Amino acid sequence: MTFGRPAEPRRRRLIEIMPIVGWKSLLAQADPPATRLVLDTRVQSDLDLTTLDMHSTLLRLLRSRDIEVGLADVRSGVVDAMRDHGLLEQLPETRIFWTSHMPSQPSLREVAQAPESSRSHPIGGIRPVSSHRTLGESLLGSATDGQESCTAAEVGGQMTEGMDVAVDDLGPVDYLVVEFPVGAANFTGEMAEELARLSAAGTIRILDLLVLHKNDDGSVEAIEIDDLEGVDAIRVFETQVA
Amino acid sequence: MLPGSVAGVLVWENRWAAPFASAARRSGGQLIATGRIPIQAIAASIEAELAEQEEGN
Repeated sequence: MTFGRPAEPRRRRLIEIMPIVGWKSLLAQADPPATRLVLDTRVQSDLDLTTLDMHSTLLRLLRSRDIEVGLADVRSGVVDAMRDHGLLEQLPETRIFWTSHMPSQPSLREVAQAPESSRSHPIGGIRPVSSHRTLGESLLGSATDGQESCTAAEVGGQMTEGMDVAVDDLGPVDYLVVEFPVGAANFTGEMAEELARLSAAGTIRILDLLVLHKNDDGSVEAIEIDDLEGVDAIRVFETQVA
Repeated sequence: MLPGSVAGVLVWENRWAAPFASAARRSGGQLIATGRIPIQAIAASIEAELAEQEEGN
């Protein structure tokens, strides 16, 4: 068994998870855990399909974690594009806050001056909002004395450049292939435990994990392990190969 | 390097890998390939995939 040109499934898998890895990584760092997330779309007058797809992926991810999403500083072109793409079904109109030129809506400045719950946070992009406030209250809440906050603009940056951020955040990406010759395999779960430990400690971030099987006729089957970022996923791996 | 310039050289050991390698050996595994995936290649393949998705839409 040799590692030649990566099999197509592997390539697709890596591609699919790259932006998600960045978002998941940000969410994992949020302390306290994020319960709401505000996207600033100020710089966008419209959304292209690529961006819409990324929004869709992010919205699904956030919904799966019960994280409420709101849009701030929104232009009508953005909402139109999202509506056409079916994204508004995941995002109630009450969570959309228009651009500051519409008088009754909060400006980005007001958003940035949201109360203590949105104070400067170690990670850019995810702004935890305490759970007893609605998003609107948080956005419109009284400004406190000039606190720096992790503004929605940073979230916008994460969104509009989500892919770039994910790639930029990567350290050197290495791969290795370990062969288990016929008859030599002695799986005890030890490898999976070690990977889980390294992953949990933040030493490595597992981007992809495949089990390859070379058949007698020389063809190679690749089995994808779902959602590899995290200990649970490693347990899946352990269960499947052990 | 340009004449007069200074460079630092860092050689490091991936210490994290040793326990995993031991675990792999005890499980009957042997390393048959390793390497680095250039970040540009990752970015390029993401872009290619996104372009492909866009065409599909």
